[in-house]
Order: sequence, then structure tokens, then C-alpha cells
Amino acid sequence: MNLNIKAKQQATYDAIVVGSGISGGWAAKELTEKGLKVLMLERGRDIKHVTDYKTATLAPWEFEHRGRVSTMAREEYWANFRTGYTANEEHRHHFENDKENPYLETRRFDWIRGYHVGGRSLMWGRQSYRWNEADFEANAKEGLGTDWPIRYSDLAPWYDYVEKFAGISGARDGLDVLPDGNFLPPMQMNCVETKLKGDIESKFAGRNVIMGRTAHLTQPQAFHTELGRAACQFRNMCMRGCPYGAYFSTQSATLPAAEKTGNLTLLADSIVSEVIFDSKANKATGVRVINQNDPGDVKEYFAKIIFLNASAIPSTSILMNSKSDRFPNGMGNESDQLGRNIMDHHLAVGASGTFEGFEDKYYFGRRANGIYIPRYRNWGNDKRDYVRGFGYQGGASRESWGRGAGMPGFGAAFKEQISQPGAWNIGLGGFGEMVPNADNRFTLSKDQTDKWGLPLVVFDAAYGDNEKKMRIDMMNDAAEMLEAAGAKNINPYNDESKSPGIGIHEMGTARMGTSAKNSVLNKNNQVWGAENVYVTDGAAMTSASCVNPSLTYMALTARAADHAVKELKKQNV
Amino acid sequence: MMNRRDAISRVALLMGGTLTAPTMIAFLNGCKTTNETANAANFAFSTDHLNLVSEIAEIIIPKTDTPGAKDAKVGEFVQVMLKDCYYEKDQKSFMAGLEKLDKKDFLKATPEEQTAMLIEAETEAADELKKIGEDRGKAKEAGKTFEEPGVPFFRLMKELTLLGYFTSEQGAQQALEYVPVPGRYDGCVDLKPGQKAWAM
Repeated sequence: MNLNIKAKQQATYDAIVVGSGISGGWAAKELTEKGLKVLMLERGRDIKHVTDYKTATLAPWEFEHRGRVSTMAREEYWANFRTGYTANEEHRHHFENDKENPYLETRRFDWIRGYHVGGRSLMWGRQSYRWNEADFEANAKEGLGTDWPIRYSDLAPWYDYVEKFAGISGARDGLDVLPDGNFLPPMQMNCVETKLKGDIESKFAGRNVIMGRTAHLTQPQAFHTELGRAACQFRNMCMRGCPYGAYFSTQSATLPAAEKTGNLTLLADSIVSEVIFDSKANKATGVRVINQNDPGDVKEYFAKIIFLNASAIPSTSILMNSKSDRFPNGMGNESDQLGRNIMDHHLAVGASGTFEGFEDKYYFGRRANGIYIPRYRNWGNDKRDYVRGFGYQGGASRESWGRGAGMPGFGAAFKEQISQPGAWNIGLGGFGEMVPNADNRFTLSKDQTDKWGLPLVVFDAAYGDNEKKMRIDMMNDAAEMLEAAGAKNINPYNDESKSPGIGIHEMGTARMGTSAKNSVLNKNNQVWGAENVYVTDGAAMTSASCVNPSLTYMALTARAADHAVKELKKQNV
Repeated sequence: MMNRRDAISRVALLMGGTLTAPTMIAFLNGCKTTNETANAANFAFSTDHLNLVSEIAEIIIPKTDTPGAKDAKVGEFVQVMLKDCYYEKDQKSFMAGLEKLDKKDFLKATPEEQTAMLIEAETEAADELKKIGEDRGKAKEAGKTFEEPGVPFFRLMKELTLLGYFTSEQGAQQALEYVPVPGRYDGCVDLKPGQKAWAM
């Protein structure tokens, strides 16, 4: 008996954070810095900063297949293979083997996962944009989904806060549609991008071409270097892990900050199956954990507050698995919204072309960033036959030897020719907002489980008419802008074979809302009815905007952690 | 090579012991490709074929004031790539084209004759790719699925030669300019006459 009490004490913390990716790292940093003893649980293996980035400094010839995907990897990483890049040899080990971690598709969903310490913060795209005021108001105005319980002004100070620590490089462009933030100096455009900017901005009122805002240290501050972070070296090998800690990740930033407090315990290989709810106390008391290397080894950990940051689908899966007398259909699921309104950004649409002139110009270094055209559709006086909008990410570069395969000829002159830089290519790829739809959802399989005995995720989602209509504009506008800038050989494209998930921005399934009847989470990211449980990853999103979401997860997490500690002090949770 | 029954029991274990009809179908399809991969993994050149591939690669990317395809061991690279990264249909189309050149005694031909044979192979590949493109278009219009045939020999040979050479230690560092850690980004600089492209 005494032994049991002692064991329970040892397994008890002030807070438990489930997941160690972008939002989990922030939760751990904020809670430990506010003095809480925190246990961070990660389902996958540990990856140590720098020393475990096993391909980070390899030269191209050190990869057996020079980066390409082998047929075996193509079958084992079948969902990753759909993206066209995540299964590549340089960084495949940072993504999940889909055959070993199966999921099911009633309607196709491309689910790209990173089960390890750092999660997808190690491989993310790093583009960092604030939402605008209208993004938080659109659902209510259009009667779609449910209203956000917060507005831009609630999040603005938290955007300031997370941008400063993370280190976001970008220009202050002064646009309502893309609010400015606390930025490090922007990266440079190349010669052709600068010309494109001039032509588009002079020929299309309301359209702007800006430098991409990205979570790279262009000018590290003292508090960055104190954590061991250095300036971006322009190698553009980010997904292998950065030995300079130049881009924001759990390993480079939030984990060392949390560890510095002495308040963090990090356990890898620990799969959380459910949140334990005490119906008498009317609160969550802890989590149940399966050892990923030994499915029979199940432990329980206890805490006053629990943050779910396992990424959208796993966080919601944990809530679905957390059944009790109080929550027979899953924790916080009185509204039947759990698992519904999966959103992503739809892409693989835009235009590319070639550019004559500037033959005597080149660039130096590999910039892991591009240009950005913020949303202009359904903005101001513009009105379309669909709602919401899209932005473009793009860039210009000179062709390399790769052009040789499609050119006729061989021999010494051919070799000489393709060893030199070729024509300028330019591309604009759209990122469109996907509107909430309750029928886009996932459920847990009733009869199929994974090797840990947990039910498989079953996706059932698709793009709707609004997305399809928007894509016509996304393709045509891109072609029109390239034409106006003088590009040639313009190739407009709209690849409709893609499915939700391909943007790797899965959002929704445990949305925030104004009441337990329309949502899973309240305005502070607390689960309705289990207020000591917070969900602050993509699952919480009530709508999707058209900008990359990670910066918003960071801001929501820092805000929720602040709330949680204040509530704890007031003994409200 | 895993047989079907072993494979099913392995997956059944993975799925927690139960298999429904759709999973079974998906799995059996997967099993076919596993066998395909296993067959493809048995691929290897004979010594003669390896020599032939190395010679063709050297004609595509010859040694000049910088190393050539042979220096970069492109023949061996083509073999590894065909074995690990391509399915049987591509291996077959590759070998068909290679044997055609072998039958013409390619290695004993004069440099002029060799050039003529490769120009012919390149023209054939271009025609074939054009036809495949047309057939793909027709299938798409008719709403039918299109079974992609193997990549024509010369196209595959050229792609793999360029990849193998320009990403090799010799090619990347000498035919191109290799800067592992640039340290900065300058967006708009003058291109010097004769300047080589960045290796990456």
C-alpha cells in the first residue's frame, strides 16, 4: 500500500504535456518557466539536437541513391510518397513508416507524421504568418462552421511574444491582410523576383509581392545565442535537422529553454492512450501511457493540468479514447464535434514559366525561403463566387544540369552547356483556405487496431465546391500575373488528383467555440467539462485561414499556458 | 522473398489480429508490389553489360578538362539505381535498349558509328515518349486508367548518367561549383563569363 502511494507520488507532476512538436515544445517551455514541474511525453524515439541529425552534413554523393526514393521505401512510406518529397533519402528517417503505422481511408487523406522528439518542428516549412482580423470573423459572418470564441486582438500580444523568441525573419510590409510582427531582418529577393514584384504591384491594384516570412535567425539576438542557436548559413537542408539551430524547432529553441529551468522531465517512447477522468472530482487526473517498445508495459502519470499537443489527429484520438461515465462518447464531445471539420490548405495549383533577360545575373547561397503574395481575393471590394481566399508561395531560380535529360544531344559541348546556369524559371503555387465542413471527419475503427492495441484512424474527407471554384482563380491568376511580368512558356496547372492532408496542415477535429453545444474547446483551449485539459495544437482550429498555421499554434499555446498557470494559482483547475 | 501467407499473418498481427475485407484487398494488392520489388531487387548487370553502360555514359559525359562519367563510376551507379529505385518494367525497357546496342557490336564500333547509334537511340526514345504522352492523353479523355509503360532506354540512361555524374564527388566539385556552407545569401550578383552553375 505504502509502495503504491510512493509510486503514485513519483509519477505525479504539476503538468503533463502530451507531444513534443511545435506546440508541445511551447507548452513545456511556458509551464516550466512559470515554475511548474512538467512531464513531457513523446510517443516516438528521442532525437538529440545536432548529434542525432545523421544526414545533416552529408554531401550529395554520400547518399546511395543521391536522395531518390527506393521502391522499397515507396511501398513502406506510401502516404509520404504522395507528397513527392517527404520520402526522399536525405530526411525520410524523420517521417513515419506508413506500413508500420497504418491508417484507413474511406475517402483519401494524406497523413504525414513525425513521431519522435521534436515532432514535425524538425521538418516543418517554417513559413510564419499571422492571421488577420477577418480570419477570426469569417465563420460568423458567413454562417459557416461555428464562430471563433476569440478575435485577433486576443492573440496579437501572444504573436508578439512567440515571434520574438522563435526568431521570425521578414519585412514590415504594412498590410492589413497580413499583420506585421516582431521580425528579424528579411532575406533578399533575387533579381527576377524583384522585377516580378514591381510588375505585379504596378499592374494589379491590391496585390503585393513580399519576401517570405520564415522562422530562421537572420540576425540572432543574445537570448537566441544563449540557447546555442546561430545564424542561418543558407544551406537549404533544413529537414535533415539544422546543426546551427538556425531555424525554430523544439530541439533548437523550446526544449533547451525548458531544460534550463530544471523543471522538465522528458520521456520518449511513451504513447498516451487516454486521459484519465475522475468523475467524483469532476476533473482529469492523469494519462495512461504505453511503452512503444513494449505494448504490455502500461503506466499512469498524474498531474493537475494536462496539455494535449500530439498534433491534430492524435490529440483528438486521445480525447475519443478517453471515455468515462461523464464522457461516454469521448472527452468533451457533448457536441458530437470531436473528429469533425478536418481542414488543410489545398495546393498543387498555380502556374510556372520561364523568364528571358537577366542572363548575366545569378545569386549566391541557397535561400530556404521564397516570395509570398498575400491574399487579395474576397478582400476589400473584391467579391468572388466563392468565400475566403488564397495566397501564393513562389520564387525564381536558374535551371541547373537537370534540364539536360529533356534536351537532345550528348558529348563534350553538351556537358559544357549544362554545367552552366540555364534559363530563369519562375513559379507561383497557391495555398487556399479550406472551409469547415462537419462531414469531413475521422473516426476510430471499431475492429482494427495498431500494434499497441489502439484503434486505427479512419479518414473520410474531401475538398468541396468552394475549394474547387477557388482553384480556378488560383490557376488563372497565377498565369495572368506571370504574363504581366513578361514570363514566357507559361504553364498553368491545377492538379485535382490531390487530397486533403497533402498540405500537411491538418486542422480542426476538436474545435474552439462559444459553448459545449457547438465545440470541444472553450476560448482558452480548455476542454468543455474537463477544464484542466487544454488542447493547443491544430485540433483546436475553428477555421483554417489561408496562411501557414504553426505560428498561430505557438501563440495559442503560450496564451493557454498563461491561463492555465493563473487558474492553478486561483485553484480553479 | 516473403510468401503471401507469411505476409498476411504478419499484417494480421500488425492490425491487432483482425482483418476486414477492404483491408485484405488493399493488402493483397500491396503484397503484389512487394513481390515486384523483391523481383526487381534481383537485378544485376553482367560484366559486359556494365562495361557497355559505362562506355555509353562516358560518351554522354566525356572526360574533358574535368572528370568524365567513368571517373565518377556512373556505370555502377546506374546499376544500383535500376536495382533499388525502378520496377521491373523499367529494368526491362532499359535492358531491351541496351541489348539492341550490344547486338550492333557497339563497343567495337568507331566513335563516329557509336555517336550515330546513340543519336538513333535518342530519336527512338523521343518518339516513344511522344507516343506514350498521346496514349496517356487519350486514356485520360476516355476516363480510363493508363498503365505507364517502362521508360525508354536512352531517356533512362541519360537521366541516370546526368544524376550520377553531377551529384558525384568529381562532377559536383569540378564540373560544377560546390559550396557546402554558403554562410549568406546574395539575391542578385553578376554572373562571371564561363561561371559554372552551383552544384546544389
